[in-house]
Amino acid sequence: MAPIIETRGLTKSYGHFDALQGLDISVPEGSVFALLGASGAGKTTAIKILLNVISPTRGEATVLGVESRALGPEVLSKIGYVSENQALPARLRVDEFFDYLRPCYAQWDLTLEQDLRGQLCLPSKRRIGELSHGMRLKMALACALPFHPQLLVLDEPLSGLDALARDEIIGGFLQQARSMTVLISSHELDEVERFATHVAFLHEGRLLFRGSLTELSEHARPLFPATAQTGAERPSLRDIFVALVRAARQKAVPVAEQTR
Amino acid sequence: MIWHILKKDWKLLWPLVALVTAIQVGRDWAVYRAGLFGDDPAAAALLQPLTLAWVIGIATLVAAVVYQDAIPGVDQDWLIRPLSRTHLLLAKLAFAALTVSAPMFVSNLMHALAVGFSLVPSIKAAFFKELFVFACLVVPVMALASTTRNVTELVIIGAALVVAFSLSLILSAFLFGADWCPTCNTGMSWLQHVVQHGGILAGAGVILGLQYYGRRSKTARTLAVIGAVSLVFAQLPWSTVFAVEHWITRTSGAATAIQLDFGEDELGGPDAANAGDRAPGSRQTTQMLLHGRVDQAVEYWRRRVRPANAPVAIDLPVRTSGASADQLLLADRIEIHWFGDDGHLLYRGDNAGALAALLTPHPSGSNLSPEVTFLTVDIPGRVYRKLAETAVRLELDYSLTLMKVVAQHKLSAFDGELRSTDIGVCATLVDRSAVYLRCKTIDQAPFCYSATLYGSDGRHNPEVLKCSPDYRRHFPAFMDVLGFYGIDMPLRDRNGVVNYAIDATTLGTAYVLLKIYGECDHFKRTVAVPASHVLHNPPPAA
Repeated sequence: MAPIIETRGLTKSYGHFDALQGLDISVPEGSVFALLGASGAGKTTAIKILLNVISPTRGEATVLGVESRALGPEVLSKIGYVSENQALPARLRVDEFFDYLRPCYAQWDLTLEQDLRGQLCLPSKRRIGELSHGMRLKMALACALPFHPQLLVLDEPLSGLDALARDEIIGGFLQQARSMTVLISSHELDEVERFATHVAFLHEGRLLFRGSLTELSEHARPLFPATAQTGAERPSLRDIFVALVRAARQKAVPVAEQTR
Repeated sequence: MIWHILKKDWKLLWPLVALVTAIQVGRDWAVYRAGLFGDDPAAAALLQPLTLAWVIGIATLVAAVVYQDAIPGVDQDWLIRPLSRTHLLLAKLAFAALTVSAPMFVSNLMHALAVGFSLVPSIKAAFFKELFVFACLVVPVMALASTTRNVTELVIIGAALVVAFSLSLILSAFLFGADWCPTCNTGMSWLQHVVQHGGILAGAGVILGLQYYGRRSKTARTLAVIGAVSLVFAQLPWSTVFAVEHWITRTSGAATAIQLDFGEDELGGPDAANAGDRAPGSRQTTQMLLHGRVDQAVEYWRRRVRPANAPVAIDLPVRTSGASADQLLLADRIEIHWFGDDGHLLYRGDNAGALAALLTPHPSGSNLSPEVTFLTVDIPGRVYRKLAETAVRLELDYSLTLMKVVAQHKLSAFDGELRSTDIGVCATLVDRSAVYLRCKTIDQAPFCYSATLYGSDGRHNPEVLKCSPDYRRHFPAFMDVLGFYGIDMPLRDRNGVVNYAIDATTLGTAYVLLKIYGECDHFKRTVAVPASHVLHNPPPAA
């Protein structure tokens, strides 16, 4: 089965700063692929490149079989997107924004829209600018699902939300996740662990690991010898990520010293 | 999707649209109420602030619609929606057309109809004016706004462009002197303006393309700065401009008979340079005083009071022949070439930057023999002193325009009113010192016209001529749909010394004769001046 997203040597530099360095990932169809890393790891940069919002400095990516730089309305109509930084038209009312979006998507499902709006308790007559952060994210999610996207891209959708709002957001997209592929970026590792099928760890623009959760456990085994010997519960995503980052830093130190 | 995006923008911006429309209507109302003579002081006082608000309002509205889906940045919602870039761009242009141009069109049309112009010419004038504003204000502002995220950034880049433009002006003036702009202050400057407006529109088009299809903000901003600099340095050469103007005029050969010669006799012989009191300056002034034109005499001498290092003014009598009484001859540009006795060029200059000179003496205002005018040529004092030491020959290359009376109308001097298809709506107003004639026209206002105050007995005051050459054709006005022009006819001379034949006591039966001149040919002539006749003015003390 062809991957929904594939990147090869994806690099983005701003002057001398490399925000992303040679990212190679492959997102299988139907997976919930989590792009994980601390703030500034390059997750959002990768997503912006995949959606043709910014251009890569080097490398290439294909999304739904199309080169990311050639992504046009046809492919975008199959992609749902939710981001904590999404700039929605603040002066529009919630229902006006839905009115605006509906004709943009040929596959818009009005029943699903109404279900989502009810489920997420979106106030129709409130202006978007007056909504709380959590409510805005819920609204963005409610706008990203009614056209049955093939790919749902969530960029830090859980950031700054309380537990209840997180559950609502996660519940909202997981309900639809069966029929689509989800790419989610987050630094909330504990939450993501609940639903991700595949992960990629990013640290300072570099890819530390990519693969399924099973592959991750195998990969992390040498880093947790005590757990392997005692047969204790497998380490969490958070523990593995921290161990991988530490290992990466230890590798990097001699290189830095050599260059001095 | 165009209509759909437009509807969304309307929902977001309708209060601003209402405000800008109110400003536009208010401005047209103020222009209408101010009338020809500023009849309504409140309306006249409102005009200036409303004009400023009009420009700012339009720019703000156009920028605001672009910012609803801003181009620079990575978080805008539209970037991840399946919207065609072409539809987005067209939606923004359509919004500007519907919310800026359409209300302005209606308002301008109402204004023209209210003044009394008929429907079809009013529609035509309003349409072309709106098209002009759209192409030269709306689209460029839209392009500039597309390179920025908000009004603050727009103001910053706008200021940067102004600085780039100003520095270019300074540099250009430093490098080329008065010749930095060969068409400035000439009637042919409109050709340069057409090129500049065309360049701005093309540049705006390129920037919009770069932004909406490529989101290349840095390149677009650089292009804008290059454009601002090019506006100064990309000047059309005079020869090209003159050739184009000549070609457009479709000359009828009216100027074939016109000849220009050096008026040797007017210098009083070859010893004129040493003649002292017979020098043209003194002589002209004396004649002016004898004819009662004290103000002209004072002005003549005022011009000649100069510091030692200032340019030297040389008076050259130029005899014009072949022009009929209803014709005027304008010198748009004069190129001066000084040759040494061995024939090589010693100095080249021109009157670039100076206003066009009237070569044909005005019939009632002539101060010498009717066909002779004195042309004042300014040359640098340093060059003058050098040339004075050697035998030189002077050649004057004239770029000329022949004007002819194309319309003539009479109206009462006292509260007169006239409506005509060729000159528009005119009226007169009288006070103690002058008769004022003011006109509004739906077409382009004439640039060369004269008015004479006649009494019932045939006596008349000096003809007043107003001639600011502007040979543009069908170039719409930017601010007002109606062209405005006028002339003042004083009842006594500027210094109050001489009372003219028609004064306040005889105005009841007096009338104004208004003559409109139109261009009928553009052509060139060369006048050669022998060396001994040129340097008759003593150089200033070194």
